[in-house]
Amino acid sequence: MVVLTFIQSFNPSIITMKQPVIFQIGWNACIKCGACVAVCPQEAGFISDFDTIAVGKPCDIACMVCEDICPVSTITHELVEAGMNGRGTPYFTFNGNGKKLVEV
Amino acid sequence: MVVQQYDVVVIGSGPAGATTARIAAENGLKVLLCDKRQELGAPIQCSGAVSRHGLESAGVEPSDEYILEPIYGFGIYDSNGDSTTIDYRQIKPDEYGEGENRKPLGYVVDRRRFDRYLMTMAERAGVEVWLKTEGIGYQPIEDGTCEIQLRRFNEKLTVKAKVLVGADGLQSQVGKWAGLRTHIKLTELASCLQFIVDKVETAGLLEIVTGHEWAPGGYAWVFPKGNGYAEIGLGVIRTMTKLNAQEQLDHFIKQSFFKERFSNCRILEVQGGGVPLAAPLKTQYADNLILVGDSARHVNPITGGGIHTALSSGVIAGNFLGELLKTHKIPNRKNLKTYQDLWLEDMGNKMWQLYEVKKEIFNTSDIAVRDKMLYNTMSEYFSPNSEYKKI
Ligand SMILES: Cc1cc2nc3c(=O)[nH]c(=O)nc-3n(C[C@H](O)[C@H](O)[C@H](O)COP(=O)(O)OP(=O)(O)OC[C@H]3O[C@@H](n4cnc5c(N)ncnc54)[C@H](O)[C@@H]3O)c2cc1C
Ligand code: SF4
Ligand code: SF4
Repeated sequence: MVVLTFIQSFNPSIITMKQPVIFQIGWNACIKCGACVAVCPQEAGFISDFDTIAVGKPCDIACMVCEDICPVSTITHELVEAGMNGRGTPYFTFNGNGKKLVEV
Repeated sequence: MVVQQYDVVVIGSGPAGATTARIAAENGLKVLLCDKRQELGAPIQCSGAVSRHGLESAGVEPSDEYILEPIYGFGIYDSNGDSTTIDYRQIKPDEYGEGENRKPLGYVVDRRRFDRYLMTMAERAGVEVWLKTEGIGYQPIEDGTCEIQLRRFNEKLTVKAKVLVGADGLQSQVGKWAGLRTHIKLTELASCLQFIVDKVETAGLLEIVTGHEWAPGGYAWVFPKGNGYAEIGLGVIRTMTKLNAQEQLDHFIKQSFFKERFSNCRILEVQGGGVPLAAPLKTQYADNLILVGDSARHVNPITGGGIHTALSSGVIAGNFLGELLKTHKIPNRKNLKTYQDLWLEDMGNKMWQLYEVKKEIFNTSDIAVRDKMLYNTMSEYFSPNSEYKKI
Protein backbone atom coordinates (compact mmCIF):
# COMPACT_ATOMS: atom_id res chain seq x y z
CA MET A 1 0.00 0.00 0.00
CA VAL A 2 1.18 3.50 -0.77
CA VAL A 3 1.88 5.32 2.43
CA LEU A 4 1.65 9.10 2.35
CA THR A 5 2.72 10.13 5.80
CA PHE A 6 1.46 13.36 7.15
CA ILE A 7 1.78 14.16 10.80
CA GLN A 8 0.08 16.85 12.79
CA SER A 9 -1.03 17.51 16.33
CA PHE A 10 -4.16 15.76 17.35
CA ASN A 11 -7.05 18.17 17.56
CA PRO A 12 -10.47 16.57 17.56
CA SER A 13 -12.19 19.70 16.31
CA ILE A 14 -10.32 19.87 13.00
CA ILE A 15 -9.69 16.22 12.28
CA THR A 16 -12.96 14.64 11.31
CA MET A 17 -11.90 11.71 9.18
CA LYS A 18 -10.97 9.00 11.61
CA GLN A 19 -10.09 5.40 11.24
CA PRO A 20 -12.59 3.22 13.04
CA VAL A 21 -11.45 1.67 16.30
CA ILE A 22 -12.43 -1.36 18.32
CA PHE A 23 -12.30 -1.06 22.08
CA GLN A 24 -11.18 -3.46 24.74
CA ILE A 25 -12.07 -3.06 28.39
CA GLY A 26 -9.71 -4.27 31.11
CA TRP A 27 -12.52 -5.81 33.15
CA ASN A 28 -10.32 -6.29 36.17
CA ALA A 29 -10.06 -2.53 36.72
CA CYS A 30 -13.47 -1.51 35.32
CA ILE A 31 -15.89 -0.37 38.05
CA LYS A 32 -18.95 -0.65 35.76
CA CYS A 33 -19.78 3.00 36.25
CA GLY A 34 -21.12 3.91 32.81
CA ALA A 35 -19.17 7.18 32.55
CA CYS A 36 -17.80 6.08 29.18
CA VAL A 37 -21.34 5.59 27.88
CA ALA A 38 -22.46 8.94 29.26
CA VAL A 39 -19.95 10.92 27.17
CA CYS A 40 -20.35 8.80 24.05
CA PRO A 41 -22.06 10.45 21.06
CA GLN A 42 -22.75 7.10 19.34
CA GLU A 43 -26.29 6.09 18.52
CA ALA A 44 -28.42 4.09 20.96
CA GLY A 45 -27.18 0.62 21.77
CA PHE A 46 -23.43 1.17 21.48
CA ILE A 47 -23.05 -0.42 24.92
CA SER A 48 -21.92 -3.66 26.53
CA ASP A 49 -23.78 -5.73 29.09
CA PHE A 50 -21.66 -4.19 31.86
CA ASP A 51 -22.55 -0.50 31.51
CA THR A 52 -19.55 0.24 29.28
CA ILE A 53 -19.25 1.26 25.65
CA ALA A 54 -19.53 -1.61 23.17
CA VAL A 55 -16.63 -3.98 22.82
CA GLY A 56 -15.79 -6.03 19.74
CA LYS A 57 -17.61 -3.78 17.30
CA PRO A 58 -16.02 -0.89 15.45
CA CYS A 59 -16.70 2.73 16.27
CA ASP A 60 -16.27 5.04 13.30
CA ILE A 61 -16.66 8.27 15.25
CA ALA A 62 -13.46 7.50 17.15
CA CYS A 63 -13.55 10.69 19.22
CA MET A 64 -11.87 8.78 22.09
CA VAL A 65 -13.57 10.70 24.88
CA CYS A 66 -14.68 7.37 26.38
CA GLU A 67 -11.03 6.59 27.08
CA ASP A 68 -10.48 10.04 28.56
CA ILE A 69 -13.40 9.95 31.01
CA CYS A 70 -12.65 6.50 32.44
CA PRO A 71 -11.75 7.03 36.13
CA VAL A 72 -9.39 4.04 36.06
CA SER A 73 -8.13 4.33 32.44
CA THR A 74 -9.12 0.79 31.59
CA ILE A 75 -10.27 1.31 28.00
CA THR A 76 -7.83 0.63 25.16
CA HIS A 77 -8.35 0.37 21.43
CA GLU A 78 -7.09 -1.19 18.26
CA LEU A 79 -7.39 0.39 14.85
CA VAL A 80 -9.60 -1.25 12.33
CA GLU A 81 -7.69 -1.89 9.08
CA ALA A 82 -7.09 1.09 6.79
CA GLY A 83 -9.36 1.77 3.85
CA MET A 84 -12.51 3.71 3.15
CA ASN A 85 -15.00 4.18 5.96
CA GLY A 86 -18.76 3.97 5.61
CA ARG A 87 -19.02 7.59 4.50
CA GLY A 88 -16.62 7.01 1.61
CA THR A 89 -13.77 8.94 3.17
CA PRO A 90 -10.30 7.53 3.72
CA TYR A 91 -9.26 6.61 7.20
CA PHE A 92 -6.32 7.91 9.06
CA THR A 93 -4.36 5.78 11.37
CA PHE A 94 -2.76 7.31 14.41
CA ASN A 95 0.26 6.19 16.30
CA GLY A 96 0.60 6.45 20.06
CA ASN A 97 -2.67 7.08 21.86
CA GLY A 98 -4.32 9.50 19.51
CA LYS A 99 -1.49 12.01 19.74
CA LYS A 100 -0.26 12.05 16.13
CA LEU A 101 -2.02 11.25 12.92
CA VAL A 102 -0.52 9.33 10.08
CA GLU A 103 -2.42 8.98 6.85
CA VAL A 104 -2.15 5.52 5.36
CA MET B 1 -49.87 -13.10 21.97
CA VAL B 2 -51.66 -10.62 24.19
CA VAL B 3 -49.67 -7.42 24.55
CA GLN B 4 -49.89 -6.01 28.07
CA GLN B 5 -51.05 -2.42 28.21
CA TYR B 6 -50.12 0.23 30.73
CA ASP B 7 -50.71 3.92 31.15
CA VAL B 8 -47.06 4.45 31.97
CA VAL B 9 -43.93 2.33 31.63
CA VAL B 10 -40.86 3.58 33.50
CA ILE B 11 -37.39 2.38 32.52
CA GLY B 12 -34.92 2.56 35.38
CA SER B 13 -35.69 2.27 39.07
CA GLY B 14 -33.32 4.79 40.60
CA PRO B 15 -34.66 7.69 42.70
CA ALA B 16 -36.14 9.38 39.61
CA GLY B 17 -37.90 6.35 38.12
CA ALA B 18 -39.20 4.83 41.35
CA THR B 19 -40.62 8.20 42.43
CA THR B 20 -42.23 8.94 39.07
CA ALA B 21 -43.81 5.46 39.12
CA ARG B 22 -45.08 5.81 42.70
CA ILE B 23 -46.64 9.23 42.19
CA ALA B 24 -48.20 8.18 38.86
CA ALA B 25 -49.76 5.14 40.56
CA GLU B 26 -51.05 7.34 43.39
CA ASN B 27 -52.75 9.34 40.65
CA GLY B 28 -54.63 6.20 39.64
CA LEU B 29 -52.49 5.20 36.67
CA LYS B 30 -51.51 1.66 35.72
CA VAL B 31 -47.72 1.65 35.89
CA LEU B 32 -44.92 -0.78 35.05
CA LEU B 33 -41.44 -0.07 36.46
CA CYS B 34 -38.49 -1.98 34.95
CA ASP B 35 -34.85 -2.16 35.91
CA LYS B 36 -32.15 -4.25 34.33
CA ARG B 37 -30.31 -4.84 37.57
CA GLN B 38 -30.61 -7.75 39.96
CA GLU B 39 -29.92 -5.55 42.97
CA LEU B 40 -30.89 -1.91 42.68
CA GLY B 41 -28.17 0.60 43.41
CA ALA B 42 -25.35 -1.93 42.93
CA PRO B 43 -22.57 -1.48 42.03
CA ILE B 44 -22.79 1.85 43.87
CA GLN B 45 -22.09 4.92 41.76
CA CYS B 46 -23.00 7.54 44.32
CA SER B 47 -21.93 9.00 47.67
CA GLY B 48 -25.49 9.05 48.96
CA ALA B 49 -25.72 12.51 50.54
CA VAL B 50 -29.27 13.86 50.53
CA SER B 51 -31.03 16.57 52.53
CA ARG B 52 -33.87 15.71 54.89
CA HIS B 53 -35.94 18.31 53.11
CA GLY B 54 -35.27 16.52 49.81
CA LEU B 55 -36.61 13.25 51.20
CA GLU B 56 -39.61 14.73 52.98
CA SER B 57 -40.71 16.87 50.04
CA ALA B 58 -40.97 13.67 47.99
CA GLY B 59 -42.91 11.89 50.74
CA VAL B 60 -40.01 9.61 51.69
CA GLU B 61 -39.75 8.91 55.45
CA PRO B 62 -36.19 8.92 56.77
CA SER B 63 -35.64 5.26 57.76
CA ASP B 64 -32.95 3.18 59.40
CA GLU B 65 -33.44 0.70 56.60
CA TYR B 66 -31.27 2.83 54.33
CA ILE B 67 -29.65 5.61 56.39
CA LEU B 68 -25.96 5.15 57.07
CA GLU B 69 -25.37 8.34 59.04
CA PRO B 70 -27.12 11.62 59.86
CA ILE B 71 -25.50 14.87 58.67
CA TYR B 72 -25.53 18.20 60.49
CA GLY B 73 -23.55 20.52 58.27
CA PHE B 74 -20.54 21.12 56.06
CA GLY B 75 -16.82 21.78 56.20
CA ILE B 76 -15.49 23.61 53.14
CA TYR B 77 -11.71 23.64 52.59
CA ASP B 78 -9.51 25.65 50.27
CA SER B 79 -6.46 24.06 48.67
CA ASN B 80 -4.23 24.87 51.66
CA GLY B 81 -6.61 23.41 54.21
CA ASP B 82 -8.10 26.65 55.51
CA SER B 83 -11.76 26.05 56.11
CA THR B 84 -15.24 27.33 56.77
CA THR B 85 -17.43 25.21 59.02
CA ILE B 86 -21.18 25.46 58.62
CA ASP B 87 -22.49 23.32 61.47
CA TYR B 88 -26.25 23.65 61.90
CA ARG B 89 -25.92 22.18 65.41
CA GLN B 90 -24.26 25.49 66.29
CA ILE B 91 -26.14 27.82 63.96
CA LYS B 92 -29.62 26.62 64.96
CA PRO B 93 -29.16 24.46 68.07
CA ASP B 94 -32.89 24.34 68.83
CA GLU B 95 -33.68 22.80 65.48
CA TYR B 96 -30.70 20.68 64.51
CA GLY B 97 -28.88 18.02 66.47
CA GLU B 98 -29.32 14.70 68.17
CA GLY B 99 -32.05 13.91 70.66
CA GLU B 100 -35.63 15.02 71.32
CA ASN B 101 -37.24 17.49 68.92
CA ARG B 102 -34.04 18.08 67.03
CA LYS B 103 -33.30 16.73 63.61
CA PRO B 104 -30.46 16.17 61.21
CA LEU B 105 -29.99 18.44 58.20
CA GLY B 106 -29.63 15.44 55.94
CA TYR B 107 -28.30 11.93 55.65
CA VAL B 108 -25.78 9.74 53.93
CA VAL B 109 -27.73 6.82 52.54
CA ASP B 110 -26.73 3.39 51.27
CA ARG B 111 -27.88 3.53 47.66
CA ARG B 112 -28.49 -0.24 47.54
CA ARG B 113 -30.95 -0.07 50.42
CA PHE B 114 -32.28 3.37 49.47
CA ASP B 115 -33.14 2.44 45.88
CA ARG B 116 -34.79 -0.77 47.07
CA TYR B 117 -36.79 1.22 49.64
CA LEU B 118 -38.02 3.64 46.95
CA MET B 119 -38.92 0.74 44.67
CA THR B 120 -40.83 -0.92 47.52
CA MET B 121 -42.75 2.31 48.13
CA ALA B 122 -43.72 2.29 44.45
CA GLU B 123 -44.67 -1.38 44.59
CA ARG B 124 -46.89 -0.75 47.62
CA ALA B 125 -48.56 2.14 45.80
CA GLY B 126 -49.68 -0.35 43.14
CA VAL B 127 -46.82 -0.22 40.64
CA GLU B 128 -45.90 -3.49 38.92
CA VAL B 129 -42.12 -3.93 39.23
CA TRP B 130 -39.93 -6.10 37.01
CA LEU B 131 -36.26 -6.50 37.83
CA LYS B 132 -33.78 -8.15 35.44
CA THR B 133 -35.70 -6.34 32.71
CA GLU B 134 -33.83 -4.20 30.23
CA GLY B 135 -35.47 -1.66 27.96
CA ILE B 136 -34.23 -2.05 24.40
CA GLY B 137 -36.41 0.18 22.23
CA TYR B 138 -39.70 2.01 21.66
CA GLN B 139 -41.86 3.19 18.77
CA PRO B 140 -44.85 5.54 18.86
CA ILE B 141 -47.74 3.87 17.00
CA GLU B 142 -50.80 5.09 15.13
CA ASP B 143 -53.32 4.77 17.96
CA GLY B 144 -51.42 7.46 19.90
CA THR B 145 -49.69 5.03 22.29
CA CYS B 146 -46.27 3.40 21.96
CA GLU B 147 -44.75 -0.05 21.91
CA ILE B 148 -41.80 -0.80 24.14
CA GLN B 149 -39.41 -3.69 23.67
CA LEU B 150 -38.04 -5.30 26.80
CA ARG B 151 -35.79 -8.21 27.59
CA ARG B 152 -36.74 -9.98 30.82
CA PHE B 153 -34.64 -12.93 32.01
CA ASN B 154 -33.55 -13.41 28.39
CA GLU B 155 -37.09 -13.36 27.05
CA LYS B 156 -37.93 -10.62 24.55
CA LEU B 157 -41.33 -9.09 24.96
CA THR B 158 -43.31 -6.04 23.92
CA VAL B 159 -45.63 -3.96 26.09
CA LYS B 160 -47.79 -0.96 25.23
CA ALA B 161 -48.03 2.32 27.10
CA LYS B 162 -49.39 5.78 26.65
CA VAL B 163 -46.18 7.29 27.97
CA LEU B 164 -42.69 5.84 28.34
CA VAL B 165 -40.58 7.45 31.06
CA GLY B 166 -36.81 7.29 30.57
CA ALA B 167 -35.29 7.25 34.06
CA ASP B 168 -32.28 5.24 33.00
CA GLY B 169 -29.67 7.46 34.56
CA LEU B 170 -26.45 8.97 33.34
CA GLN B 171 -25.83 6.58 30.46
CA SER B 172 -29.39 7.07 29.16
CA GLN B 173 -30.25 5.17 26.02
CA VAL B 174 -34.00 5.82 26.16
CA GLY B 175 -33.54 9.44 25.10
CA LYS B 176 -31.39 8.31 22.19
CA TRP B 177 -34.20 6.02 21.00
CA ALA B 178 -36.16 9.20 20.29
CA GLY B 179 -33.17 10.96 18.75
CA LEU B 180 -32.48 13.19 21.77
CA ARG B 181 -28.80 13.98 22.23
CA THR B 182 -28.37 12.81 25.79
CA HIS B 183 -24.60 12.43 25.90
CA ILE B 184 -22.59 14.85 28.03
CA LYS B 185 -19.54 16.79 26.90
CA LEU B 186 -16.18 15.61 28.23
CA THR B 187 -15.63 19.12 29.61
CA GLU B 188 -18.83 18.85 31.66
CA LEU B 189 -18.74 15.33 33.06
CA ALA B 190 -16.71 14.89 36.22
CA SER B 191 -14.85 11.59 36.31
CA CYS B 192 -15.18 10.34 39.89
CA LEU B 193 -13.60 7.72 42.09
CA GLN B 194 -14.27 7.09 45.77
CA PHE B 195 -13.10 4.70 48.46
CA ILE B 196 -15.08 3.60 51.48
CA VAL B 197 -12.43 3.50 54.19
CA ASP B 198 -11.82 2.45 57.75
CA LYS B 199 -9.76 4.50 60.23
CA VAL B 200 -10.64 8.00 59.08
CA GLU B 201 -12.58 10.04 61.64
CA THR B 202 -15.54 12.24 60.74
CA ALA B 203 -17.88 14.47 62.75
CA GLY B 204 -21.32 14.46 61.14
CA LEU B 205 -20.25 16.94 58.46
CA LEU B 206 -19.92 16.64 54.70
CA GLU B 207 -16.40 17.86 54.03
CA ILE B 208 -15.65 19.41 50.67
CA VAL B 209 -12.13 20.16 49.51
CA THR B 210 -11.76 22.66 46.69
CA GLY B 211 -8.66 23.59 44.70
CA HIS B 212 -7.17 22.77 41.33
CA GLU B 213 -4.27 20.98 42.99
CA TRP B 214 -6.54 18.27 44.42
CA ALA B 215 -9.48 18.05 42.04
CA PRO B 216 -9.11 20.03 38.79
CA GLY B 217 -12.55 21.05 37.52
CA GLY B 218 -14.37 19.46 40.44
CA TYR B 219 -13.78 18.91 44.15
CA ALA B 220 -12.71 16.24 46.61
CA TRP B 221 -14.76 15.10 49.58
CA VAL B 222 -14.75 13.22 52.87
CA PHE B 223 -18.17 11.94 53.95
CA PRO B 224 -19.19 9.97 57.05
CA LYS B 225 -20.47 6.52 56.06
CA GLY B 226 -21.80 5.07 59.31
CA ASN B 227 -20.30 2.40 61.61
CA GLY B 228 -17.19 4.55 61.93
CA TYR B 229 -16.40 4.35 58.24
CA ALA B 230 -15.79 7.26 55.89
CA GLU B 231 -15.67 7.88 52.19
CA ILE B 232 -12.85 9.70 50.42
CA GLY B 233 -13.57 10.66 46.85
CA LEU B 234 -13.15 13.18 44.11
CA GLY B 235 -14.29 14.21 40.68
CA VAL B 236 -12.13 15.76 37.97
CA ILE B 237 -12.70 17.24 34.54
CA ARG B 238 -10.33 15.31 32.32
CA THR B 239 -9.59 18.21 29.99
CA MET B 240 -8.12 20.04 32.99
CA THR B 241 -5.70 17.37 34.21
CA LYS B 242 -3.33 14.76 32.85
CA LEU B 243 -4.07 12.49 35.81
CA ASN B 244 -7.11 10.24 35.80
CA ALA B 245 -9.47 10.19 38.78
CA GLN B 246 -7.67 7.24 40.35
CA GLU B 247 -4.26 8.92 40.14
CA GLN B 248 -5.71 12.22 41.31
CA LEU B 249 -7.31 10.47 44.32
CA ASP B 250 -4.01 8.85 45.18
CA HIS B 251 -2.36 12.29 45.04
CA PHE B 252 -5.05 13.74 47.31
CA ILE B 253 -4.79 10.95 49.87
CA LYS B 254 -0.99 10.91 50.00
CA GLN B 255 -0.01 14.55 49.47
CA SER B 256 -2.79 16.82 50.70
CA PHE B 257 -3.13 18.59 54.06
CA PHE B 258 -5.18 15.52 55.09
CA LYS B 259 -2.33 13.08 54.56
CA GLU B 260 -1.83 12.54 58.31
CA ARG B 261 -5.55 12.03 58.79
CA PHE B 262 -5.62 9.46 55.98
CA SER B 263 -2.32 7.78 56.82
CA ASN B 264 -3.88 4.65 58.36
CA CYS B 265 -6.87 4.41 56.07
CA ARG B 266 -7.87 0.99 54.79
CA ILE B 267 -9.95 0.66 51.64
CA LEU B 268 -13.18 -1.33 52.08
CA GLU B 269 -14.97 -0.57 48.80
CA VAL B 270 -14.11 1.03 45.45
CA GLN B 271 -16.85 3.03 43.71
CA GLY B 272 -17.10 5.72 41.09
CA GLY B 273 -18.90 7.14 38.14
CA GLY B 274 -19.64 10.27 36.19
CA VAL B 275 -21.29 13.41 37.53
CA PRO B 276 -22.63 15.92 35.04
CA LEU B 277 -21.60 19.47 35.98
CA ALA B 278 -23.76 20.53 33.09
CA ALA B 279 -26.92 22.36 32.16
CA PRO B 280 -30.20 20.43 32.08
CA LEU B 281 -31.02 18.73 28.79
CA LYS B 282 -32.67 21.29 26.50
CA THR B 283 -35.33 18.88 25.24
CA GLN B 284 -36.56 16.33 27.75
CA TYR B 285 -39.57 15.02 25.83
CA ALA B 286 -40.59 13.41 22.54
CA ASP B 287 -43.74 11.68 21.27
CA ASN B 288 -44.95 9.35 24.07
CA LEU B 289 -41.73 9.96 25.99
CA ILE B 290 -40.34 12.03 28.83
CA LEU B 291 -36.98 11.88 30.60
CA VAL B 292 -36.53 12.25 34.36
CA GLY B 293 -33.46 12.44 36.63
CA ASP B 294 -29.89 12.00 35.42
CA SER B 295 -31.11 11.01 31.96
CA ALA B 296 -32.37 14.60 31.56
CA ARG B 297 -29.38 15.90 33.51
CA HIS B 298 -31.49 16.95 36.48
CA VAL B 299 -28.32 17.42 38.48
CA ASN B 300 -27.10 20.39 40.47
CA PRO B 301 -24.18 21.72 38.37
CA ILE B 302 -22.31 23.13 41.38
CA THR B 303 -22.52 20.26 43.86
CA GLY B 304 -23.18 17.38 41.45
CA GLY B 305 -26.02 16.34 43.76
CA GLY B 306 -28.73 14.49 41.87
CA ILE B 307 -30.74 12.50 44.42
CA HIS B 308 -32.89 15.35 45.67
CA THR B 309 -33.43 16.66 42.15
CA ALA B 310 -34.28 13.15 40.90
CA LEU B 311 -36.87 12.74 43.68
CA SER B 312 -38.40 16.17 43.07
CA SER B 313 -38.47 15.64 39.31
CA GLY B 314 -40.19 12.30 39.89
CA VAL B 315 -42.93 14.03 41.87
CA ILE B 316 -43.39 16.61 39.11
CA ALA B 317 -43.43 13.96 36.37
CA GLY B 318 -45.80 11.60 38.25
CA ASN B 319 -48.33 14.32 38.99
CA PHE B 320 -48.06 15.72 35.48
CA LEU B 321 -48.76 12.31 33.94
CA GLY B 322 -51.71 11.82 36.30
CA GLU B 323 -53.27 15.10 35.14
CA LEU B 324 -52.50 14.56 31.47
CA LEU B 325 -53.99 11.09 31.27
CA LYS B 326 -57.00 11.91 33.46
CA THR B 327 -57.97 14.58 30.95
CA HIS B 328 -57.41 12.14 28.04
CA LYS B 329 -54.91 14.39 26.31
CA ILE B 330 -52.85 12.73 23.60
CA PRO B 331 -49.33 12.16 24.89
CA ASN B 332 -47.63 13.65 21.85
CA ARG B 333 -44.55 15.82 21.83
CA LYS B 334 -46.55 19.00 22.00
CA ASN B 335 -48.56 18.03 25.08
CA LEU B 336 -45.56 16.53 26.85
CA LYS B 337 -43.64 19.78 26.57
CA THR B 338 -45.78 21.01 29.47
CA TYR B 339 -43.87 18.60 31.71
CA GLN B 340 -40.63 20.35 30.88
CA ASP B 341 -42.21 23.78 31.37
CA LEU B 342 -43.47 22.75 34.82
CA TRP B 343 -40.09 21.33 35.66
CA LEU B 344 -38.26 24.48 34.59
CA GLU B 345 -40.56 26.62 36.65
CA ASP B 346 -40.21 24.47 39.74
CA MET B 347 -36.44 23.95 39.70
CA GLY B 348 -34.94 23.89 36.22
CA ASN B 349 -34.55 27.63 35.89
CA LYS B 350 -32.59 27.70 39.16
CA MET B 351 -30.38 24.94 37.79
CA TRP B 352 -29.70 26.98 34.68
CA GLN B 353 -28.65 29.88 36.94
CA LEU B 354 -26.33 27.58 38.87
CA TYR B 355 -24.90 26.39 35.59
CA GLU B 356 -24.00 29.99 34.72
CA VAL B 357 -22.27 30.38 38.09
CA LYS B 358 -20.36 27.15 37.53
CA LYS B 359 -19.33 28.22 34.01
CA GLU B 360 -18.04 31.53 35.23
CA ILE B 361 -15.87 29.78 37.83
CA PHE B 362 -14.38 27.16 35.55
CA ASN B 363 -13.90 29.49 32.59
CA THR B 364 -11.57 31.57 34.74
CA SER B 365 -8.08 30.71 33.56
CA ASP B 366 -6.09 32.10 36.49
CA ILE B 367 -5.94 29.10 38.83
CA ALA B 368 -5.56 31.10 42.05
CA VAL B 369 -8.56 33.27 41.19
CA ARG B 370 -10.61 30.27 40.11
CA ASP B 371 -9.77 28.37 43.32
CA LYS B 372 -10.91 31.33 45.39
CA MET B 373 -14.14 31.66 43.41
CA LEU B 374 -14.98 27.98 43.90
CA TYR B 375 -14.17 28.08 47.61
CA ASN B 376 -16.32 31.18 48.13
CA THR B 377 -19.18 29.78 46.09
CA MET B 378 -19.19 26.48 47.97
CA SER B 379 -18.99 28.28 51.33
CA GLU B 380 -21.92 30.49 50.40
CA TYR B 381 -23.88 27.73 48.76
CA PHE B 382 -24.18 25.69 51.96
CA SER B 383 -24.77 28.64 54.30
CA PRO B 384 -28.21 29.06 55.89
CA ASN B 385 -28.86 32.16 53.80
CA SER B 386 -28.18 30.61 50.42
CA GLU B 387 -30.85 31.28 47.86
CA TYR B 388 -30.20 27.86 46.36
CA LYS B 389 -30.72 25.92 49.57
CA LYS B 390 -33.73 24.06 48.27
CA ILE B 391 -32.02 22.46 45.26
C1 LIG C 1 -19.42 9.19 42.31
C2 LIG C 1 -20.78 9.82 42.45
C3 LIG C 1 -21.16 10.38 43.65
C4 LIG C 1 -22.42 10.97 43.78
N1 LIG C 1 -22.76 11.49 44.99
C5 LIG C 1 -23.98 12.05 45.16
C6 LIG C 1 -24.38 12.55 46.44
O1 LIG C 1 -23.65 12.43 47.44
N2 LIG C 1 -25.60 13.14 46.55
C7 LIG C 1 -26.43 13.26 45.48
O2 LIG C 1 -27.53 13.82 45.63
N3 LIG C 1 -26.10 12.78 44.27
C8 LIG C 1 -24.89 12.17 44.07
N4 LIG C 1 -24.55 11.67 42.84
C9 LIG C 1 -25.51 11.77 41.74
C10 LIG C 1 -26.61 10.73 41.88
O3 LIG C 1 -26.04 9.46 42.05
C11 LIG C 1 -27.49 10.69 40.62
O4 LIG C 1 -27.83 12.01 40.25
C12 LIG C 1 -28.77 9.90 40.87
O5 LIG C 1 -28.48 8.55 41.10
C13 LIG C 1 -29.71 10.02 39.67
O6 LIG C 1 -30.83 9.20 39.86
P1 LIG C 1 -31.61 8.59 38.62
O7 LIG C 1 -32.79 7.90 39.21
O8 LIG C 1 -31.84 9.62 37.60
O9 LIG C 1 -30.63 7.54 37.95
P2 LIG C 1 -29.88 6.24 38.55
O10 LIG C 1 -29.82 6.28 40.02
O11 LIG C 1 -28.61 6.13 37.80
O12 LIG C 1 -30.83 5.05 38.12
C14 LIG C 1 -30.95 4.61 36.81
C15 LIG C 1 -31.49 3.19 36.83
O13 LIG C 1 -31.82 2.83 35.49
C16 LIG C 1 -31.44 1.49 35.28
N5 LIG C 1 -31.29 1.30 33.82
C17 LIG C 1 -30.41 1.93 33.00
N6 LIG C 1 -30.60 1.54 31.73
C18 LIG C 1 -31.64 0.66 31.74
C19 LIG C 1 -32.32 -0.07 30.72
N7 LIG C 1 -31.99 0.03 29.43
N8 LIG C 1 -33.34 -0.88 31.09
C20 LIG C 1 -33.69 -0.99 32.40
N9 LIG C 1 -33.09 -0.31 33.39
C21 LIG C 1 -32.08 0.51 33.07
C22 LIG C 1 -30.18 1.33 36.07
O14 LIG C 1 -29.97 -0.04 36.37
C23 LIG C 1 -30.47 2.17 37.31
O15 LIG C 1 -31.04 1.40 38.34
C24 LIG C 1 -23.30 11.04 42.69
C25 LIG C 1 -22.93 10.45 41.49
C26 LIG C 1 -21.69 9.84 41.35
C27 LIG C 1 -21.30 9.22 40.05
S1 SF4 D 1 -14.72 6.86 20.45
FE1 SF4 D 1 -16.33 8.38 20.87
S2 SF4 D 1 -18.08 7.62 19.74
FE2 SF4 D 1 -16.64 5.92 19.82
S3 SF4 D 1 -17.25 4.72 21.61
FE3 SF4 D 1 -15.71 6.20 22.33
S4 SF4 D 1 -16.90 7.97 23.00
FE4 SF4 D 1 -18.26 6.70 21.76
S1 SF4 E 1 -15.70 4.50 32.36
FE1 SF4 E 1 -14.12 2.92 32.67
S2 SF4 E 1 -14.60 2.06 34.68
FE2 SF4 E 1 -16.45 3.17 34.02
S3 SF4 E 1 -17.70 1.60 32.98
FE3 SF4 E 1 -16.46 2.62 31.39
S4 SF4 E 1 -14.65 1.29 31.23
FE4 SF4 E 1 -15.61 0.75 33.17
